[in-house]
Amino acid sequence: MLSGDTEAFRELVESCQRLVAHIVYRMIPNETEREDICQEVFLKAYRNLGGFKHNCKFSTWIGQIAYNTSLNYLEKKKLVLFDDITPEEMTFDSLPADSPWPSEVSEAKELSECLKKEIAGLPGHYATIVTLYHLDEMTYDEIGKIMKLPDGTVKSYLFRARRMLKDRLLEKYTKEDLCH
Amino acid sequence: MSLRHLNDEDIQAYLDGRLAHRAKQIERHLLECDCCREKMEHYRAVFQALKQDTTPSLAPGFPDRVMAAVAKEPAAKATDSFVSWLSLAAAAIVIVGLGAVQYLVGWQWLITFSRNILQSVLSFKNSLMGSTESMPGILSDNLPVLLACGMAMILVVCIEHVLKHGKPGGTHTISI
Repeated sequence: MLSGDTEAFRELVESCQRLVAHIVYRMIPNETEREDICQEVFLKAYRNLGGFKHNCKFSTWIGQIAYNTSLNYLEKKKLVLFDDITPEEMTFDSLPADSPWPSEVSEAKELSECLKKEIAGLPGHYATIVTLYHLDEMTYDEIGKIMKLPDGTVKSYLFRARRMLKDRLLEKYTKEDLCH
Repeated sequence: MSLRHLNDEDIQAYLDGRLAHRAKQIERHLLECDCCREKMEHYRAVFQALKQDTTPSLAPGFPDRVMAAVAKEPAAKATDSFVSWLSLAAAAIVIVGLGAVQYLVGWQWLITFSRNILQSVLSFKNSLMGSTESMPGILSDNLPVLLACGMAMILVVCIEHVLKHGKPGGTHTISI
């Protein structure tokens, strides 16, 4: 594969595109540039295949590239990742207003649609961690390697993110709706 | 009451499956405590929703687009592969050369030769430190030493390269 077998690289693209999209889409607010950034991630990976050390999984390695590429993009565009804002300081008013919400959440699908909007309102780090943990089923250690964070910080961010989501959903819906 | 009230951390850890050792105790408490049961249900709903992928998918032709861009990339890896082959070839030449020396003249000759080289290096060093001879003169007088040193350096670099990059052109199994 590392000798330049492009077909093998295609297989890697196909198997890792979901993970890369998860990271880039959670980190980058600009919808029109997300796919270009995902492509850039794979090109960087292709150019640096020789530097891939087999001491971690390929998915972790490409996840690191996706995360760093996203950070570089945000830095270039001078966009803030809400790094230094703690959940306590974040008020719901400061997050994007979502509209119109269904009066009743009776379907799990609807709840996940609502949650999607709430996740979009989370700080990029939180949204990325929640996604990598629940959708990509990564461990604290793998997430920490991708985002260069200690396990304890990953755990703490994950906890805060999920508590925020729960609280925000409760603000919007009645307890009965949420527990239907 | 079989347990103090569950806090957010307990509930999240329980739903993550990280409190297996306290599971029965927690479940007993949930049966008795409406407040904690309600909180647990809220979190359970959030956890279930989080398992559904709501991220927009990349366009269906995304891999094709990436591969088209990859095809335009300069042949950086071909160079890398060439260097690796070069390293392996150099290493093979050295091994065959050593074998030939052993076969033709024996190890004793090699040891004597090495000793001579070492003495030449020392004399070269002395001539550099104290001699007023011109640099071209010093270089031509010590050409064998310089060649030996150069070859040794190339050999070291080649071996290091092979060790670092593995077998040239080899297939690495990538764990995704």
